[in-house]
Amino acid sequence: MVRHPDAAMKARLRRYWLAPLPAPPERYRRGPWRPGFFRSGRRSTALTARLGLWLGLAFGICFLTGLLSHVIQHPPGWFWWPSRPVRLYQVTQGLHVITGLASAPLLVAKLWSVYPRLFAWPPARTVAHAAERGAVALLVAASLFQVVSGILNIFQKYGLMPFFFTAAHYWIGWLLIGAMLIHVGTRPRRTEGLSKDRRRLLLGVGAAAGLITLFTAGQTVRPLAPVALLAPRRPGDGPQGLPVNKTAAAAGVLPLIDDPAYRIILAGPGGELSLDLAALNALPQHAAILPIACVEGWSSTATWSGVRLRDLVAMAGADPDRAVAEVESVQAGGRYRTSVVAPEHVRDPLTLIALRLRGEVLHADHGYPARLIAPNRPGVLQTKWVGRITVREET
Amino acid sequence: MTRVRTLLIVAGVAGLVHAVLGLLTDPDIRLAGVLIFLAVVLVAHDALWMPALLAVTTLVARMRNRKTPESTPGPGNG
Ligand code: HEM
Repeated sequence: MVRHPDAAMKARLRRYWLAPLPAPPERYRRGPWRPGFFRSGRRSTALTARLGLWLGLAFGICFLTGLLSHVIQHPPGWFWWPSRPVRLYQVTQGLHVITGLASAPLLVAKLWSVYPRLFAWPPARTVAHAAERGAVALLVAASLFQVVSGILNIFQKYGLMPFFFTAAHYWIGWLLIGAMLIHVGTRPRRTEGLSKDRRRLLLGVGAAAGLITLFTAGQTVRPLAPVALLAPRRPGDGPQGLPVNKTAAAAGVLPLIDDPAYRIILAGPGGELSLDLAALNALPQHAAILPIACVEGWSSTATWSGVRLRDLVAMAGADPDRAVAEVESVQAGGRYRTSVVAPEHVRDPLTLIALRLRGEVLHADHGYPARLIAPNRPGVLQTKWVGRITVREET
Repeated sequence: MTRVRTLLIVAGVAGLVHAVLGLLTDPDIRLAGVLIFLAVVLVAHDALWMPALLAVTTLVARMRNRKTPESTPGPGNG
């Protein structure tokens, strides 16, 4: 009988995939590789499965909220992001960082619960087993990478990371989710229930996650601000009671913003206008209560006042209901010197070129003489030290 | 293997492939830095942090056991 070549190929692959690999000589089986080396009775597949489920959910939330933050900052053609609710991004990115921080003790406990399996003997039984272990190694490395890089980022230890955080954290996020799905697809089935001892351990891990949340969530959940002991920023920190990530000095704009020749160039279909601070102050002023919602998970709300962006767009000769505005800083370089304001946000009467914060002239670190503030956008897109606004009408 | 498991594995492989292509093509990625950091966190966790954690918990458990000798059987390494 002639077998179908496809079937024969499959059988060959299967044999190769599951063929036993030679075990290393027994004399190398030392230290943690010895049978019975790990003796804590608290580990069990049931415990590991519970921790895995929690951690999987936490990482799932991080991945989705992170992906959202990414597409808001780099919108593909199909993407649409509203200007309301005003606090939506504050909530999703706050959740990202809160969940990420709470996942740290879950990750520690999960890895503790499976640590003896790192010393499985023989190290690889079959090619399939080796591949599975490789995927697990990738999963563990990616998980640690995300949590460690995330924490270093929010504590602004950028120098400890030999890469550009946002891009690396984004792609390793995909690596983590891919390896995690493979792991969920190949995980062993749960067999036993939870003993009292293990339940207590789970409770301890849950309590650790809860405490971390309690002591950090105040960076964006205002009522918890007084106990935000572990949070890198609190809503009231900084000049004029608002935190700052990039100071005017760090951005190198100090000489430019204090220059009497400072102007905003407003360019649009109707030509180009040059507005000095007096001209901006002479335009109708409006106030808006809006948060600065940082990508790093903190947020702080204040009353901003200044000129509506839609009024400026109209002055530039475009229809404020269907215009795109590119807002540029006087900053010479930097990733965040320009941001594109989509029609939803241009249209919104809460979107301001702000001149004041809580009734005072903006502090240099908050963008003096003028900054963009719009509802429901990441802080990095709220351009400070505005020097040019280019308006296009959407076709 | 159930259908769901197969689907999870296929989606996972797709995610991995997407990640690898992204890491190789994104001009903002410094691949050497990313790989070094991946290796460092993995090795630091498995070879430093976990042994240290186990040493501490084992010590604490032994000390506690000495105080109450009639309690649960003596724990060994972590
Ligand atoms: C302690 C844990 C974590 C912290 C503190 C953290 C922090 C952050 C921060 C600050 C950003 C904003 C980056 C920016 O726009 O400049 C971010 C984005 C992101 N995070 Fe996390 N993160 C953590 C864990 C995770 C985990 C576990 C994942 C899982 C996949 C993840 C996936 C992402 C993704 C995909 C982005 C979008 C990156 C981009 O805008 O390109 N994060 N995270």
